[in-house]
Formats: sequence, C-alpha cells, structure tokens
Amino acid sequence: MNRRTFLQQSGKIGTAALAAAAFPKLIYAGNSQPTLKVIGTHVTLLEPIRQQAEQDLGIKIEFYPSGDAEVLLKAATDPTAFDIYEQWSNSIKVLWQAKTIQPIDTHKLKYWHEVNSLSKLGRISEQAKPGAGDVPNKILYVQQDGNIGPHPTQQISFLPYVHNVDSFGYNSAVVPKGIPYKTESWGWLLDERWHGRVAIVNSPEIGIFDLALAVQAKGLMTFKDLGNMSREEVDQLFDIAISLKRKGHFRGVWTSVPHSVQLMASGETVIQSMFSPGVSALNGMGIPCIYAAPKEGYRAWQGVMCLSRACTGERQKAAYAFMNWWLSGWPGAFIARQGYYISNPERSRNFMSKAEWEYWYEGKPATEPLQGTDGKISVQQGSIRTGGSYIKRFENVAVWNTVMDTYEYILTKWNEFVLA
Amino acid sequence: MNSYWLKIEELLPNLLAHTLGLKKRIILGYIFTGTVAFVIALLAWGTFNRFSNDLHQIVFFSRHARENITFAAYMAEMQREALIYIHEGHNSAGEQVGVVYKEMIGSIGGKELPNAELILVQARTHLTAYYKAFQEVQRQRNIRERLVKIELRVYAVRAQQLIEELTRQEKIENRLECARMLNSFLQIEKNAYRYFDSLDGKFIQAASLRLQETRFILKKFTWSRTEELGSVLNQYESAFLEAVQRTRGYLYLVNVVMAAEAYETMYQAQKLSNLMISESEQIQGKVTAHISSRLWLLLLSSALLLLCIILFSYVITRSITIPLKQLTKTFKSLAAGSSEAEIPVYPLADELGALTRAAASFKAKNIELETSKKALEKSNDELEQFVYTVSHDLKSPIVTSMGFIAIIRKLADQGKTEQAFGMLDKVAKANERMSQLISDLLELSRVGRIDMDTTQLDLDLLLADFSSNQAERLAQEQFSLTIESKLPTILANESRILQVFENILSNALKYANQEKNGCLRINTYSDEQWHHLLCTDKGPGIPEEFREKIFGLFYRLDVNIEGTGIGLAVAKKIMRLHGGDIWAESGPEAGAVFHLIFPKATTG
Repeated sequence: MNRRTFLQQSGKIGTAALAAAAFPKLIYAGNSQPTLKVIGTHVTLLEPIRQQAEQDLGIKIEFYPSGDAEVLLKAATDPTAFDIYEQWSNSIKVLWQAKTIQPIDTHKLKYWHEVNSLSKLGRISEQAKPGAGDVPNKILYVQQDGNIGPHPTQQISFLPYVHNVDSFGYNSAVVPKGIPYKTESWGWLLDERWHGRVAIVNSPEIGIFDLALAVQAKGLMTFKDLGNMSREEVDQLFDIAISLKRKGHFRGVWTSVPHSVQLMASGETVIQSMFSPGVSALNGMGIPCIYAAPKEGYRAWQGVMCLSRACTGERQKAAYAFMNWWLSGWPGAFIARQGYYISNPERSRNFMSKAEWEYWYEGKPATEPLQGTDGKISVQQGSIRTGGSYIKRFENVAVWNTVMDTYEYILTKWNEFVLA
Repeated sequence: MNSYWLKIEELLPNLLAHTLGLKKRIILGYIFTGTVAFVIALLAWGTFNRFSNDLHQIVFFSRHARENITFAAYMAEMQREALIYIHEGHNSAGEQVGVVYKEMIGSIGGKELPNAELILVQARTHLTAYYKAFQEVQRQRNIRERLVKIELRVYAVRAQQLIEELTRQEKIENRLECARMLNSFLQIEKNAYRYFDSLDGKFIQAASLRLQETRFILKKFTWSRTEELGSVLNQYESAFLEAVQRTRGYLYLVNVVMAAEAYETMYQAQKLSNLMISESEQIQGKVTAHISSRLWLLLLSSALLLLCIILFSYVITRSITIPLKQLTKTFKSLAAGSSEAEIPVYPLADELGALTRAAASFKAKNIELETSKKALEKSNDELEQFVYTVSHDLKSPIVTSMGFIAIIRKLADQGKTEQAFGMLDKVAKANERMSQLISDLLELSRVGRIDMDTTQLDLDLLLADFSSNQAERLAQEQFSLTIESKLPTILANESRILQVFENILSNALKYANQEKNGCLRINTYSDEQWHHLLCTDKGPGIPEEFREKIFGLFYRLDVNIEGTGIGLAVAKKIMRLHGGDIWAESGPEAGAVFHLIFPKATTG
C-alpha cells in the first residue's frame, strides 16, 4: 500500500467514522418515517449527496432538481411543493415577499456558531471590499417587523451554505492571458477584438451585473448603486448593450452550463460569462479556458437553504436535520471538489486531504492530482486555482447576485437585449 | 534512344508474333479496340453520372434552402403569434403557436448535409425549449388571469362587503375608522392593479404596506366577523402574492427563456442557412471543377486510349507484316533456287506458320536439288574422266597391240617368222589386259544396278566365311588376315560387301605383301551414327596426296604391280550405295588403313 492509497483509504474510513459520529440517525416509529422534498438546481441536488444524506440521517429524501427560474417560481407560488428550497440568495427577497418560506431558528442549527463572517457580516475579512447588491447578511436575519435585514436575530431567512465567486472565462489560446486582479478586467467582454465571440449568461439577475461591470470597466457609464440600479441606469446600460448586440458584438446568451461549454468548445465564443463547472469541463476537454480574476472584483453568490412555510412537525424536524447535516463536514468537502465553498469550512477540512484543502481553500499549487466528485482527475499536480485562496477571492467581490427593485423592468429590457 | 526504340519496336511485334496466332492477334486487335471504346464510354458515363449527382445535390440544396427559408418564416410567424397571445391574450394565437411549432419540427431538414447534424440538433432543442416555455407561459398566464381577474376580485368584493357591513353596524364615531380601513383596502387593490399594469415592483411594496395598515385598523374592532374579514384579507394577500410571482414567472419565461430560445433557434437557422450557402457554393465550385476536370480527363483518356489503339494496331500490324516480309524475302530467295535462304523462326501453327513450314520444305527441296545437281555435275565430271580414262586405258593395249602387229608384219615381211610369232604373245597379252579392263568396267557398271537386295548381315559370320574361303590363297601368299570378333550386323548386299573386302584384301596382297608375311587386320568400333571398320595393313602405306586418287578409275600407285585400278573405285561405289563410305588413312605403324563406315540406321 503506497502513501496515496493509504491516504485515500484512511480518508474514506475517517469520513465515514466522522459522519457516523456526527449524525446519530433520526429514529422514527413504524411507517411514520417522513420523506423530505428538496427542490433546487443541479449544482447541489446531486445523487451522491442525496444517498449520503439518506444513509447518515436514516430518512427518505427526494431531490427535484430543475432550472433556476422554474424552481423559484415553484417555491414562490406553492409552499407545499417542497420542504427545503436550495438556490441562490437573489431568490430570498422574492420568496420572503411571497411568504412561502418560514424563518429558521438558529438555535436549532447545530453548527450555526461555526458559520463564518462572510454570511453573517457580509465580509470575509476586515480588508474585504464591501460588495454591492444583496450581500448575504443584508437579507439573512428576520427583523422584528417581519422583514429581512442585516441586524442579527435568532431567526434567519435562509441557511447560508454553498457559495462562490463567478466571473468570466476566456480561451487563452485566443485571448492573451492576463494577470489576475491586475490586467484581467470585466471590460474584456466588450473588447472589439472579440467581436461576435462574446456570450452572456441568460439570467437577468446575474447577467445584468456582468454587463454592468463590463460597461463600467470600459468607462462607458457608472452606477450610483451597482446593486440596485435605477430605471434610468437600466435604460442606459441596455442602450449600450443592445447597441453592441445589434452591431454583432455578442454571439448571444447561454442558457445552461453545457450550452456555455458548447459555445466555447465550438469556437463560437472566446470569452463569456462563466460558471466554475463550465470552466472545469472545458479544461477537461483540453480547451485552455481561464476563469478570470477581474481587477474590478468578482460577482459573488450565496447558496441558500430555505424552509417551506408548509414544512412542519416531523418533516420540519427532518429538514433541520438535513440542514445540520449539510454543515457537518462531508457535504462541504464534497462540493469543494466542484470548486464551491461551504460557510463553515473548517469542519469540512477534516474530510479533505491536505492537498485538497491547500488547493481549493488556500489557493496553493496542487501537490498531487486531485479527483473531482466523479472520481476522475479534475486538477493536475502543480495547478493553481485562479484568484488565489478562499479569503482572497472573497475579499474581491464587486457585487452579489441580486434581484433588484427594477426586476420586472429589467426582464423586459433583457428581452430586448436577447432578441436584438 | 533510337536503338532502344527500335529494339522495342521489334521486340513487341516479335513477342506478339511468337505468342499469339494470326487470327487471335486480329481478334485481339478488335477486342482491344472494343475495350478502349467501352472504357471511353465508361468514362463518359462516369462524367455524366457525376454531373447528374451534382445536379441532384444542387436540387437537394435548393429544396433545403427553400425549407430553410420556410423555417425562418415559420419562426417569425410563431414569434408573432406568441406575441399576440402574450400581449392580447388571444387563445387562437396561442393555438396557432402550437400548429406552427408542429410544422416546424416536421420541416427541419438538411440533416443529410455534412456538419449540419449538430446545428439541427441544437435548432430542434432550442425550438422545443421555446415551445415548452410557451406552453408554460400559457399555463402561468391562465393561473395569473384566474388570480387577477377572478380570485382577487372575489376576495376584494367580499372584503369590501364585510367592511361596508361593519361600517353599517358600527357606531357613528367608529365609522370614520371603517372608512379609513375601506380606503386602505381600496389602496391595496389600486396598488395591486397598478403593479399588474405597470409591472413596477414598488407597487407590491405599497400594496403590502396597505395590507398591514388594513390589518392594523381591523384589530381595533371587536366585531364578530372580524376573523372572517381577516381571513379574506389573508386570502387576498395570498392570491395577490401568488399573482405577483406568477407574473414574474410569466415575465421571466417570456422575456428570458422564450426570448433566448427564439434567438438561439433563429441563430441556428441562420447558421444552417450560412452552412447551406457555403455548402451550395462549395458544390457549385465542385460541380464546375468536376465538369472541367472530367471533361479534361475524358479528353485526355480518349487521346491516350486512341494512342494505345494506334500503338497496338502498329504492333499487331508489325507482328503480321514482319513475318510476311521475312517469308516473302525467303520465298524470293527460294524461288531463285537458293538453298541457303533464311527460314524465319515462327513457332505457331497458324497460316504464317504453314507458310514458314512450306518455305522450309521449299528450302529442303532446293538443298536436295542442289545436292543432286552437284552429284550430277560430279557424275558428269566422273563420266568425262571415265570416258577419258577408259578411252585412254583401253587405247593403250590397242596401241600396244597395233605396235606389235606392225612389228610382226614387218618381221613377217622380212621373213622373220619365228620372231613374228614370238611377238604374238605380246599382242595377246595386250588384248587380255584390254579384256580384263572391259570386264572390270562391266563389273563397276553392275554395281548398283543389279543384285542390290539387302539383308541383315552378321559381319562376324560373313568375314569368318570370307577368311575361310581365302585361307588357301593367303597361305600361298604367306599373308595373314586377322578379324576381330564382335563385328556389327549391318543391312547390306552380301555379295557386294564381300566384293569390298575381296578388293581390300587383293589390294593388300599386292601392295603390302611384296616381301611376304604381310597382314591385314580388321577391327571395329561404333559411334552414335556409324559402325566403323578399320582394315589395317603393314605395307608401305599410301602417301597423303594419293589417298583420294586411289579410289579413282584405273589409278594405281605402282603401275608395275598388276591390276586394273578399278577395284577400289568399285569398293567406293558399293560403300556409298550402302549409305556409307570408304577412305584411306595412314596406319599407326606406317601401313595403310581403309576406313569403312556403315550407317547405324540401316543396321540391325
């Protein structure tokens, strides 16, 4: 048995032991075992996670993964359709307004005290840039008046768990390689050299920030509050974007991660909005896609886990168990291998090898080839994660994904942009 | 180079002439010409077939280009109908979207195009997603319409009725508060409808605040139906919030999902169109290039094949004319009587082969004629010599006799009778010699004319008898005859062969036994063609210059030795009549050797 095999095997044993120790199974009598319905996206509703949770918790869990908008609409209109809702923090305002979710009691959250300052205070460190938009803490706490706000209380609107920063990706075989945080800029999206080979994610509450950051980086306009644009600002932004689109600058919008991969793999685009799995997939295909670390800062997102208003009794108990399980370490380590962070990283550290921790969280070169969640090598030895460590990446957040007050108006403008 | 070409020029026709018969060559020529014609026809067929395929492809592209244009038109129509439905809510437009969708899905063509598969898959995927989103839009719109136009009104009417009922039942001093509540509630409605009208999110907030206000006012009353009113307010709020979310979902589907899918579908259609144009241009280029290249190919191939026909015809013609020319030359030479005319080598059994064999026969006849002519000339020479010799040698005894007769007359006139009589013996002797000469000549003339029946002769037996018959004579002459055993058996005339050995023996007795105790030894050996018999004596031998002459008529080495000089000529004639020969050689010990050969073919 060599060192690597030993580490892998001891890691697995350790993982199982830790999970077993952390989660005594919930005991239910007879056939009263509840079934937990979880709706969300393919980012976190993964079969290995479901199986592991069922095994650890001893409950039945059903995952209903779907598209962002579909999931949000379902959650915002039918609280009986789910027990747990998993998505992004930009859906919190909608759900809270729709009153389809209920507050979560922090004292029922076993690891709440371990959740780091990024979620609780909106900054990973004192040096961190204050990001625009719905910084997680601004929409986290249930205030006395029933609204959500930044002042800490014992009730929260969502459990902060998975999060990451996004930017744009570029094919370094075509686009000259830049220097992270120094030359790499959102303005590259509007660079005339890449005319006709630029794509934006087809999600207005996300894509609008990519456009806004690009326009701002190019000096074409500024925003009073990037995270809450006025109608006039929206108009101006879309005037620029639509004008560029009519001139053929944009190839179009992409509607899914596979679509984004296909666009760049086919050469139709060389630079575009990007999600981490898309970058990994392209690299796996041998396309040197670099996930930029823009000097203007990242567009960050916070994964949220919400409790349905209709979730009560045994199902609510199971839902809390499921939320606690998510922060118990194993799931955090699992999604770390996809490039995502968990809100209490130190607990997941025990479930990761030293090399994994150093690569994914500390931004150090991989000391050995690292496997992804599918068991295949996703990181070659010597690779360094673009943007550096977890701390450094979240110290450079320009804006958080946000549903702005002008959301409906943005939707109509988005339509104009897409069809332009 | 020229010599090389000449070699080739000769080599090929010769090779052909030595391989294939005349008829086959002519047939081969026709087959080759036919094949060439067929190949040219095949090339022409290939050219026009390719051209036909190209035309098919052009037609195919034209059809798909038309379908593609139709596809884009369909997409525009579907968008138009969808927008009518979205903005006007006409169900017929919504249904038409489904009809157009089905038409489009059925008409997506061009998958036979290279590189089009992925585009078509994507076009189909996005089109399907578009229609799926539209169906969801219809569903969301229906729900929203139900919420906004039915449920909200129902709850609003009920809430208003309850508030008005409360107003009627309350004391006058409380009615102002009731009016405030009603006003607040109406503000909820107003904001709600403003939101649905303007889609401005601030009206949601405003409606929510008015709801809170209404609830706050309601709490001031202790009316028995307060709870019912509160419940209606909750139902109204719930319906409103759901309607807001349905509106947002609806807007998202229309403005984000459908828009993107429509764009992508159109983009893929455009991409397909570009691909078709590109392919069409390529095909156009290819067709032009194909026609040009094929025509050139056809032309060059035809030229090349015609050249082949010319070369092949030349080779075949040469393969016929070369032997014919050679034969003509040969026959001319043969007709001139040549026996040395060159017969061309022609191994095949065709007409030229028959001519060649005829020429060979002709030549054989000429050779035979030449041989006969030479033999005749020699015979004439011999005859002249013979006449001369005979007349000379026969004249000699007559002259001698006439001389002696003149002497006798003279002696008789002188009366010298005795002397005259004495001379008569000499006359008689001369006449005897003449008689002997005539006898020998008669014998010579008989050889070959009579008594030439041949039988198998065992020379062992024949010469044994001969030796036995000559024993007394040999004893008298003190001459020994040694005959080796195992002599061959030959096909010959017995008496003539005995005559040959008799003449050889007589010759030996005359020339090789002058001092007595001479000998003659007969031995034999054979080769592939002949039986050789060597008759060797120990006499003085025969000088080389006389070895041929001694076989001539009347030739004697020593005139002092009795003889007519005809014996060896007879022997030579007998041997030649038997297909053999005889000649003289020097012996191993200075004697003479008479070498006889008998052909094996005529022996047993």
